[in-house]
Amino acid sequence: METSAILLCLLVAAPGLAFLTLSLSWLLGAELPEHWVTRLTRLTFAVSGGAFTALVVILAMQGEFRVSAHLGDWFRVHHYTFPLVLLSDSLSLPMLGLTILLTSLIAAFSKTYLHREAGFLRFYLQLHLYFFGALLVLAAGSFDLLIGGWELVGISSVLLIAFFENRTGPVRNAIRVFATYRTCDIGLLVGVFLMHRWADTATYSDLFSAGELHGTEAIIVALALLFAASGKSAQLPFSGWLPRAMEGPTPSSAIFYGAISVHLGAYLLLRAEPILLASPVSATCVVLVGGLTAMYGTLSSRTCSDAKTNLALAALSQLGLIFVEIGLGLTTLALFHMIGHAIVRTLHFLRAPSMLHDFHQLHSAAGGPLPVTGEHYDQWLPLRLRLWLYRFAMDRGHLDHLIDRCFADPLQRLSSWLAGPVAAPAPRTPQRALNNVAEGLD
Amino acid sequence: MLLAAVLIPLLGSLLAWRAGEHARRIAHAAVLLSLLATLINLYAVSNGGRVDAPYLSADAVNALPMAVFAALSLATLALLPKREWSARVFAEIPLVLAATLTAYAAEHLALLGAAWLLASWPLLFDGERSLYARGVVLGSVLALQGSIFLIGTSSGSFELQVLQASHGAPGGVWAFGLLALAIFLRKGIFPLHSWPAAAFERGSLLPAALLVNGHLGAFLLARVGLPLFPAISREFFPLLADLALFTAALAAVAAIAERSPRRMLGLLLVSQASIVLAGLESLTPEGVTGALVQWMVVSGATTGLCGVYQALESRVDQLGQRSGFLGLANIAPRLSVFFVVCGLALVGLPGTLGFAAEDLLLHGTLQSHPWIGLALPLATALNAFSIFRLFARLFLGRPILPSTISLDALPRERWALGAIVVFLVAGGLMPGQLVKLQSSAADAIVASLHTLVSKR
Repeated sequence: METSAILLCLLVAAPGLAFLTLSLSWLLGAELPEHWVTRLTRLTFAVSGGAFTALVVILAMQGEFRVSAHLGDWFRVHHYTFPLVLLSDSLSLPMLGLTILLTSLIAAFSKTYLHREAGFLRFYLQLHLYFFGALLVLAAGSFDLLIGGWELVGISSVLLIAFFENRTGPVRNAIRVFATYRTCDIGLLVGVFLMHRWADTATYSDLFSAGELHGTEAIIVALALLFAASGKSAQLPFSGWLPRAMEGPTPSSAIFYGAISVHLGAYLLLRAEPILLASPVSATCVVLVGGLTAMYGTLSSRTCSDAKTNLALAALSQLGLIFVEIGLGLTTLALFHMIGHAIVRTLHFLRAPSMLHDFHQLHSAAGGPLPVTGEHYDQWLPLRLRLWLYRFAMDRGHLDHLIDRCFADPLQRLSSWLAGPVAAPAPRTPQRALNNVAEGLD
Repeated sequence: MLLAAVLIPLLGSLLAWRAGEHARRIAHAAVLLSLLATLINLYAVSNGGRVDAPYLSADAVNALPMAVFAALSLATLALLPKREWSARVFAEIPLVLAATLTAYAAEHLALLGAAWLLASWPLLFDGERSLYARGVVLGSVLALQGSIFLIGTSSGSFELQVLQASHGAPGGVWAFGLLALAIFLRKGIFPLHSWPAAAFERGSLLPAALLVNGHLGAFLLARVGLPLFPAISREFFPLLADLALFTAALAAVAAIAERSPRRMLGLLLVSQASIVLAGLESLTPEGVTGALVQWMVVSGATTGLCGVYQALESRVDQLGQRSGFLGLANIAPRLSVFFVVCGLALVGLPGTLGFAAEDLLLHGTLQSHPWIGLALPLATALNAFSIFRLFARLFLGRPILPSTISLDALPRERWALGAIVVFLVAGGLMPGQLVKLQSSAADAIVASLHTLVSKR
């Protein structure tokens, strides 16, 4: 195997090994002090970061920013194999670097932020699991392997939302986010299943070089991937989970919902670009979903009073714009937009706890309150429309109610009917359906 | 060694019944020795060999399930809460083991019928269990006995090898119909999909899980149904497999609103185990291998889940009746980790063996059951939601008990649950060897069936 391929494997494997080491030590009864956890974390990021830097240097010297590592078959049954292929190219390499950089920043920040917190070890365990999952998504050479990382990012994200486990709010929201993630993951699983059925492969190189998917097949696969990407990137109609995810600790909100995790949906679409190009219908859908989400995000954020939720909704509008760019085929712009947005939004989230302090400092420096801007645009709209938009934005587009009414409540009723009289009766108000499902309450 | 694997637990069961306070030790020793014997058998058949004993045989198809079931029985014994220790339960678990191993290895249909009955005995004669569950299991026992009677009287032999060599379907359509009914009832296919949930509702959870995890219905299909009736099976079993997929989705939906954790665990087991039938029916090496791996995942993961739940039940009063979040992770952190790993392995989280099983099932059944591509992701997504909901309800939220007391896993529970988790995770990270082992079993099943179909 080439040196560059070894480095690629090393940078992906390091957090996985760190996660296994920490979790097994804990399960075997070891009481790991904070400084051990942070030392191991520092070592992990040093290995991943070092391997990435060396990889970039080697590739720059070779003049071609593409490396592929074939690690054999994960398992094999006759002709069917699950190939372990890692790939780093001009799309994944910048994202890998960004992920390592921002996650190491979050790890360093959290050392102080979560000092003496009861769940210190738990936080770092989940951070390593997420880091491994994210690197796997970005470095996967096939959609099969991408699913692996995708699911790991999802589960670590949900566990971090429920980080403050002694409060019911975060737990309830974690269940809701998990439900959304799993629903949307169906799109990815079905899409990959259809790739195998129609193209007989899900490896990027085989799938895209042969141009196996055309016409209706390409449309269906692209729409399935869009469904999955919409869930991960909180696009409409699944945007409701993003504000709820703010229940987790601020550093995890920064890395998941400002920096990397929410951009993975956009990354999936960029990765599947040849399929999108083969289906203009799907590309149009991507533009529509992105455009509507951008509008929704910007409207909702204007009526939001808490800092983190405001940032989440602002991130949503940017993500919507990134989707629009992908749908229009402006993939390079979308990649730069993703990187820039991830960096800026991480800064915003990490400064959120001291936002009031910053605000006062700014005012002091300016010699008084800053003038309010942007209000003149509102005057262009009729009053009734403004009021309607205000109500719409206050209730975040009634999205949660719609999903409860159209999906959660009928599912609950069907389930109650199937399970018979011993199961929980359907809730009286559809708005509380998913919460009731979550808690198993009357 | 094959005879030892069967007779030692049978003897252990008889001794434990009479041994009083030593019953636990006897049961442990008997099950452990049986596990060792099954492992030796597994080693003996690993190079394509075969182990024979009077009316029994172990080959690539049944050697691994035998070892897995013996390991499950040992884990069940270790996880059994102290309040449920009794001479009766320590006699029943080795009895179920002996009977299930006999059913896996039987070469004689009368022996198979007797073993099937004995394996169901603890459930049939447990007054605490639901009448509905007992009725369905009794129905499956009677259907199998009827089928065996018809096969034996029409062909004049009860020996599987002799019957396989003969032409035509022994016992005709009626024998096949009764056999299919036995599989249908035992597997809990729609509309009888809720009997395992009903069986889980009352009484000791772990022995009930052990009984269901024998998956005798699927085994009957692989070892008797398809070899003896290859032509009719090829016509009928696609329907059964489609029904099984429907059951997987239906049970997953039913679990969503379920309030009782015990019933929910039963429904989850049915949902994930139903997919095994579709894999077996595909008759492709990938599909059958996926089914066999899924079988092991479901058995291991549900034993772990039931073990954790029963451990909590023995520590917290009225656990099943409590509503809202219980916050038990505070006082039982390791149990919470065991629960979440077993649960996520059950629904195929990457990094666990369940992921490999589902991948193989999907690819193996691409042609025979194209809609598995929708049913499997849908069922696993709903099951994952149910598992996480149950996890959150039990372990997260405001603690109902003060954190000054610790109710975490006891050493024996830690070892048993640790072994299950290691099996699921190590098997998931390095599934190659296990898949290879199951692949040889799958090859044996597929090859024998193709030979039979072409011969007839």
